[in-house]
Amino acid sequence: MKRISIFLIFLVSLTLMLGCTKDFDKFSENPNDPQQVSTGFILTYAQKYLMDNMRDEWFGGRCTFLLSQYWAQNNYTDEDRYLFRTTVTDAQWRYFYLGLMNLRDIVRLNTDEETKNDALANGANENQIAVANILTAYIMQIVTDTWGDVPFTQALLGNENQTPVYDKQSSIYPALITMLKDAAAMIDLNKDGIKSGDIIYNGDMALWKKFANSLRLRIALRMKAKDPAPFNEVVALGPDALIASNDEIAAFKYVGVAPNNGPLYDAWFTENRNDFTMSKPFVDLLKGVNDTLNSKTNPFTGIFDPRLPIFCTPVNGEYLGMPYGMTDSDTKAYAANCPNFKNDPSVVQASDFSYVLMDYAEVCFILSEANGWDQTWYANGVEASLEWWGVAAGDIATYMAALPAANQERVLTQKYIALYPQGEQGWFEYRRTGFPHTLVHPGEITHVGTSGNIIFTPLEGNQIPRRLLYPIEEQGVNANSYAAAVAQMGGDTQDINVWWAQ
Amino acid sequence: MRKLTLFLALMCLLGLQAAFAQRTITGKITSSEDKLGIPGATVLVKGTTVGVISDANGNFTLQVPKDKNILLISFVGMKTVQLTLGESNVVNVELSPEAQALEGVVITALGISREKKSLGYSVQNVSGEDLIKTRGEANFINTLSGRIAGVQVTGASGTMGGSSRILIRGVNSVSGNNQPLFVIDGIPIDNSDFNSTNTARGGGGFDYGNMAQDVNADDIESVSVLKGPNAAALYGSRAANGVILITTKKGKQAKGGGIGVTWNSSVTFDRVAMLPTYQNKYGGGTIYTGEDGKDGFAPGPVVNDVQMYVPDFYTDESWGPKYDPNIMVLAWNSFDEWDTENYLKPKPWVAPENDVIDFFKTGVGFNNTVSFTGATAVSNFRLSYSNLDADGYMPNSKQNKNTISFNGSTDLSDRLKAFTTFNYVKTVYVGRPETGYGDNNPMVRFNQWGQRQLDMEEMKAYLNPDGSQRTWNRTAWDDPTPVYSNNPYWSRYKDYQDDERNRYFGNVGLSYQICPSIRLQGKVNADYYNFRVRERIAIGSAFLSSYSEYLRENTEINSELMAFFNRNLSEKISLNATAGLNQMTRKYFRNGGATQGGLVLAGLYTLANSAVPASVDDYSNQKRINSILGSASFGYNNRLYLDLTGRNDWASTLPEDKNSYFYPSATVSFLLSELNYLKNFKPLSFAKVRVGWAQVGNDTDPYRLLNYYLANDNFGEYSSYRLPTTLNNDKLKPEITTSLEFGAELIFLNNRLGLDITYYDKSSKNQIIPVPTSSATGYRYQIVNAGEITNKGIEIALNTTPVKLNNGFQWDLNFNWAKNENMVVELAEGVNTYLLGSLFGIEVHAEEGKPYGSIRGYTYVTDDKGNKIVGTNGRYIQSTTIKSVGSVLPDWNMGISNTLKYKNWDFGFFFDIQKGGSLFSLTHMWGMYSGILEETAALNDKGNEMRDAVADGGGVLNQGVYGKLDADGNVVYLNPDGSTSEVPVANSTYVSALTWAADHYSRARASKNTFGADYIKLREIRLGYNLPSKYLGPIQKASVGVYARNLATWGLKNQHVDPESVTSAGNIQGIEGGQLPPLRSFGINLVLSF
Repeated sequence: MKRISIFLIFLVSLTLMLGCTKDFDKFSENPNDPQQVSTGFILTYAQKYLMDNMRDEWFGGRCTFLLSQYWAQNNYTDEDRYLFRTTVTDAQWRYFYLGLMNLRDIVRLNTDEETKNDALANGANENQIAVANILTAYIMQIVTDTWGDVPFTQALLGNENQTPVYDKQSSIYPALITMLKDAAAMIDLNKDGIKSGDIIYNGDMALWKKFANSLRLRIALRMKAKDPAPFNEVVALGPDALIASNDEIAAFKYVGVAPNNGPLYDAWFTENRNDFTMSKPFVDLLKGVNDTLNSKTNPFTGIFDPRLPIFCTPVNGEYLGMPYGMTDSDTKAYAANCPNFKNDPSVVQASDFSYVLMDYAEVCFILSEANGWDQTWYANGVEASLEWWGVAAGDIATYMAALPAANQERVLTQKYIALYPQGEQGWFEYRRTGFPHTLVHPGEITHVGTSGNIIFTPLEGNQIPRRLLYPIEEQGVNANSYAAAVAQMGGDTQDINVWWAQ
Repeated sequence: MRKLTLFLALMCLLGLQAAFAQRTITGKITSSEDKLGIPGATVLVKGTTVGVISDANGNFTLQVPKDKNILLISFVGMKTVQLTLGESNVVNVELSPEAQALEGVVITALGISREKKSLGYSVQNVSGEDLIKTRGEANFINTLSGRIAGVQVTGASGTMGGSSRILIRGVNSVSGNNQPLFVIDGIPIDNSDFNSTNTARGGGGFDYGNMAQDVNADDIESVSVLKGPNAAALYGSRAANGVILITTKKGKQAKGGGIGVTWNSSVTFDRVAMLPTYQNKYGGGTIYTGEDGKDGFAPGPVVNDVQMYVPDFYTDESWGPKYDPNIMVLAWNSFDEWDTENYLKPKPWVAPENDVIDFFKTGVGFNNTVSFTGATAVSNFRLSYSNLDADGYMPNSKQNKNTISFNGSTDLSDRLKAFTTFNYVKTVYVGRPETGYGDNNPMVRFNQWGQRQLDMEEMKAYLNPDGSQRTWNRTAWDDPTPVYSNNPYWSRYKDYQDDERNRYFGNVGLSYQICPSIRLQGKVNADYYNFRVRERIAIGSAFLSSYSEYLRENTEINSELMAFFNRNLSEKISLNATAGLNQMTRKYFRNGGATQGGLVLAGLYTLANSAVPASVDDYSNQKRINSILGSASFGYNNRLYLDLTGRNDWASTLPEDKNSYFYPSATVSFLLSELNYLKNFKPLSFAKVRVGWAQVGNDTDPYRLLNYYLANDNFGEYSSYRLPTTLNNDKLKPEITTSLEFGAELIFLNNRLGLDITYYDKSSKNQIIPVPTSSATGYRYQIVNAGEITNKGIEIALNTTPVKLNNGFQWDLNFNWAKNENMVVELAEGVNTYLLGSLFGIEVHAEEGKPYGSIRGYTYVTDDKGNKIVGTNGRYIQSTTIKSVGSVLPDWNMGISNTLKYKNWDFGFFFDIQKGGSLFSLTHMWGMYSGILEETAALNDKGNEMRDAVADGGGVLNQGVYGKLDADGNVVYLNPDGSTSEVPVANSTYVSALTWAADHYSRARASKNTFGADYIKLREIRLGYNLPSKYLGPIQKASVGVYARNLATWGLKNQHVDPESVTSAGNIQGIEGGQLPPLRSFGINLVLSF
């Protein structure tokens, strides 16, 4: 009987255990992740995520640094020859939009009645919204300049719109101008700036306002051929409304300690890749030598640029860049003589490098362009760049003394040099202006080998690409919008000009 | 509780009502071999669903209806005996061994034994003995391959303890689990797969296998496979993919009453069975074109005023100069002063003496099991201990597995019985090989990126005296820094992993006979393991040094209360019913970390040795499902059977107001052979038709309803959190799988020919899928209820005995054949394809209108006649969008087993055959690209070396016609000069071998590197001999066997890799990223029983 009682007790307890689902609360509560965090935490993430992915060895090293010919690969040169890995370009599309979603979330948390009071803990709502929107405009311009027509007005709506249409670039550009105007206007210097989490300006709203205006200047310039009005409007704000010195540069500086090393440090010293070196066209431009193979004259012939020793270290006492666009096999005879960033890392490979979003030199060059290739702004731009790179004062003076006077080619070529290593901007500006002339083009001689001239023969296309291919993924998950975009772009190839370049 | 009491009372009453028409039969079941009682044997009243199981001594008591007088007595591995009752109420039965039972008893859901002929669905059994006949396989799951119609098993090649993927009747879930539930002695055990997505897609990393492999094959009495939801409805959600039901050996009385001891010992040898075929004409690197070079070699050091030449150590390819014994160059190991044998000594440029095959060892594994069994009048037990100790075929790889298993039961009173099962398994691995496209997978360095002239014997000197690495992949002759590749010996000895798993599973329960027809049983099943994994990259490797460790813990408790009712309702109607409650609680915990920024001190593998503070990972989840379940099986007049089941689940993972779901099943079977006009048809011994319908519901993973922020590494002093990339959904509903099944079983010529044929049609709807959405929505995935997958198939099992002689010779020949047609009918709205995984631009999808696992990538462009289109440069053009080139799922699978017996000898061999299915081969793609595979140094169609310059008659001619795509994507024919042609013009433009080879990557990658996964494998051969008892003395039984596994393979579409290639049991299949070599094993084993 005793045994039976034990058994019954067991039965009853088991039944009670099964009795209800009230304890389900305990089981459905996620012990791992929070539902609420400070907006500052999200801002830090969004800023770092952007830089980590845009200026790394992939979208940077294997796309934009090659498209701008700042670098060349010293082996496996498919990308130098414009056969890009779709996995890399597809992923970058994703990185941009997923990053934008975090900025959108900051806007939401500062707008939504339920959350905006909590968000105040990290600064005034309008200041936080302005910062998120400035960064959004910054990213969106790069996205549209890389691909052309892209999702914008219907983007970032989560499950409210799963198949966003691709807006025409001709409508995205004006919208970005408006977005930046509104953001600058929204910034309230009398209220709290971003309290924590802003790596770029550490919450200095006055600088964010200047960045908003400067970025508007960049965007308006690029669409100037289509509509000069927005450009004239922002130039009219005057230089004081813009980034006005090297101290006001929009840049993201890495901590310099893992896991917060610069992405190019990680490429060489974490991933252990040593696939990239300086390209010959860029090194020759800085050395002041002419391209005799293709009969091109260096706009700064005979002037040695003091930034070159900062960008790389000579091998056997000589600065030799990798001839751009050679086959894997042809690179072998040259690789050993080109700068080796593994053995001699440059400041770009520094673990705590400051990756620039937009700098004072660029503002100067744009103002020079706005004022008919103005000499003063041109000289200011060159000097600002030399200073930022840490060129010694004496060398600056020597170089400035030798610098030939401003004209279109010189201003735009100096701008190209100063943009290093913003690979994407170097490439976009080439597409806008055709400068520098010194880039090696498909069909031109890139070098003279043992068996004669080595011609730059791309694997895809026959010119420097005008855009990248849309992600393969979009063909599946957003098929109709993709098809409509391809139709309105006139195809999905690397040779199609985006709106402002048409 | 009150309801339950009422229910039980009602059931008792029903039983009493029928009691008048019954008589009580008692008896004892013994074995013909040792004359001892057989516990756990089944006694069924023929033509009903009523039966009992014999106790520890083989005794049983059973109520038999007055009008029934035939009993079926059976035990797995024994011949079923049909016994006609006479006057006596006491019967004694002796069972003798039988290899296969066509008719008989099978174990069904919840461990209920049923007469096979009464079932309305298909169940197939394999005895444990068949599985362990060849003991070379550490993972028992692989031994099921080809054994059961409708069950596709794909094992990992060359991994120690790697994954086995099982598909029963195809794929049901787009993104969820597609593996069956494993149940051992009523204990559901976890079969998780912790491999990363990267490992699953062939991207590298270690294959830690799926967890069900912890089961010790030597303890298995039998395996029943419940294939469809019909058979499995009672196990709930997780059984939607079928159930692998394992029954372990139980204790029984030994001869003379003492303790019986069995010792089973074997040794197995593993050899690499297959490697790609390599080219042996050209060495590594590229051909040097600089003016200062010679014969394609670059200038190296000047020794005694003589200029030395060196190959290109930097490029990890094999497009270097042609071998020539007269060319003397400095090899990679000629630059270290301490290595006096090689220092600055030029060597001839020739193929290596010790090639890739010499890198591998013969693996040796010892497997010993000793078991003790015993039984008394009220108790029985079995205790076993197993040890597997193996040295792998790769340098520095070891495996050790110890298993202790105990089960026993005891009668506490006439009515109350207690029982328990306990298993402890400890597995320790050191140096599992890295899989796929991993940095330290030597196969990648041999087959994809490497130099052909390297000699394995020379590579063994992988260390400098100061402990730094010596690799062939030097930056330059005067710079030994590794570029891309470690020395493979460094990879194995320095960058190795180890892991350890401790697993406990078992149950404890009480069973109480309330009244003759009703039994109550309560039990608690538990499965717990902790699993510790440590991975290292040493300082001095080609990649940043690192160390990571992870500890995982998984606990699952199933508490179960069941009532069993077993009675005849009238003279013609029998009833066997169950009702029960179940509560499942699962808790998972993971804790670990990885160093960041490298290690500080060499050789010290701790998280504290991280250059900067190590990253931390911790995660836990828990889930509960409460269930009520019931079943009823009716038998009518020995010929018609009806089974009904139902289950209701409440799942903690679903929205609070929608967390309850019910799913039923029904099956009917009818014995045609009982009909009068067939009864007298002699050639037909037995005939049955059956039909079944079932549904199974399914819940989802924890925490998929609400959205959470995810933590990232702090940025200096700043915290960092982000949005998830998958948008959760608080409106989820359970998934539902519905299945309809028809079947027939026919037995002819007195059991000489048996046929079991099944047709099924399954559909899984409302699937909970993280649907990929355009990243432009802000999320990569959004979780929705959507989609439908269907599986339709035919399974045929044909068992024959072509030869049976009076002298005892018998040849059994059995076939299993199954064809499954899978279709992804629809995904979510606006989504027509779902990406499962990808590697190098090759994507595996669930694609609407195609079978699951569609392999997609850039393909050839063809005209409507099927000509491939070639550009005027002689290179293929490729599709502008990615397209499907095949599915990972095979067309059909087949197993053919042969057993020949003569007196004390038995001989068996077994073929495993697969037709169709596709596999993308990265080994093929990069092996071609890098000039390693044989095809890259073949003769071209002119009979010249393809690597010679095109101008000299070399190069390759791509078969096709000149053309291009116009703006609308239509093919336009071209002439060789590029002008438009009306008719196709055959390509006559040769391309260089290098371009041709590189185009395996850059042009039509999917078409060129995806192959059919067909194979015919001689899976095993075994010869056994039982020593005649007259020589044995005190030993009861002694047998010796020799066996071989994976002896031969035929019919491959890609000669370089084994089409059986998995690196995970998960859904990402069809990508071979760097296959480990398949192994061939040979062994001998000895079994002694005392």
